[in-house]
Amino acid sequence: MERTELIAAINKTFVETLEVPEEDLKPEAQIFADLGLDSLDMVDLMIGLQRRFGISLRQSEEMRQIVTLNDLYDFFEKLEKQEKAQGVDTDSKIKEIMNQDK
Amino acid sequence: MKEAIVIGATRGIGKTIALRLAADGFKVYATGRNPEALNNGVIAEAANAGYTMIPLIFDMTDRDAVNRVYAQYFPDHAPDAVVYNAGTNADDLFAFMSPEAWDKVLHTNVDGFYNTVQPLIANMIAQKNGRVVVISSVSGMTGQTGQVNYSASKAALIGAAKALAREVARKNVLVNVVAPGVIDTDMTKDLPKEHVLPLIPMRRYGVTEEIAGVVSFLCGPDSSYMTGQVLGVNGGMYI
Repeated sequence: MERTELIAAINKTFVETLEVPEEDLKPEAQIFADLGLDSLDMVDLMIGLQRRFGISLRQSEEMRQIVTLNDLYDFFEKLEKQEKAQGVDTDSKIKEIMNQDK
Repeated sequence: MKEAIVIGATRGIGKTIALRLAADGFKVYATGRNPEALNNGVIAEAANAGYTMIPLIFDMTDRDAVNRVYAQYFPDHAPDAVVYNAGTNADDLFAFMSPEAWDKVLHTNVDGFYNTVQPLIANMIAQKNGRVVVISSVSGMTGQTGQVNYSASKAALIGAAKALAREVARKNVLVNVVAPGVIDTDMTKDLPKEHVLPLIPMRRYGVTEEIAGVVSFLCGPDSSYMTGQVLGVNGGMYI
């Protein structure tokens, strides 16, 4: 999957789950400081992403280190590659997410 | 259909709560350790009344066992209401209390809360809707002779519930505590009634329905602005 597709799917989760305006979703934006989210919102976000991508995130220590949106995109890109290596069809999941509105 | 899980629904207060919530229209997951006792008791009664009730069998002190069952029934959602009722006691004067009696009560009552409620909280937050009702005890509010372990565990639950209430209120997950006094159940049947009744201004034991009614209120629409509260249901035993 292209990184742009992954970013679009993650951004969609931000907009839908946390009502963050799409125009604020810049890669350098800090999730807490710039987007105004807090740790409870992160739980919300994690569950949203978990449901969309079908992967388990809750216990990931690495996720706690994420500061910017770009960190989050990197994290998911890495995770997606790991999942794919284990035979998970992440491409279809992402396409399914993006087609929900169409 | 709204869903509720009652942790510890085999008998006593938990059983009555499960039946009351089912009567309120919830699809109820009733949990217990012993499948026979659960199925022949509350599940059979619910079926006879035409209620939807699902038995979930696990030992709540076994974190992995709880998670295995939850993975099957709650893979991507949480019930609308979680009632943490399970608990045990092993009364003795503190001077004589064995380490086993201390560990058993603290481990079951407090760790059980973590094991059974924590795995559901993230999805409740994501659902932006949920009720958690913790059954504590008047002993957790006042302390009780012969119940240092039990009082400690029930006070711990009050602290945990209040902290959790603060954490998740913004996501519309409401956490409250019901603290029963002396209720007529197996747990209290051997108490010396002649000594206990004078301590209760209403001069009688409560019945399980009187606890279930308050839990029903806390799981229902009329308590939508209440969180972090401890409701004593004790006949005036603690005022």
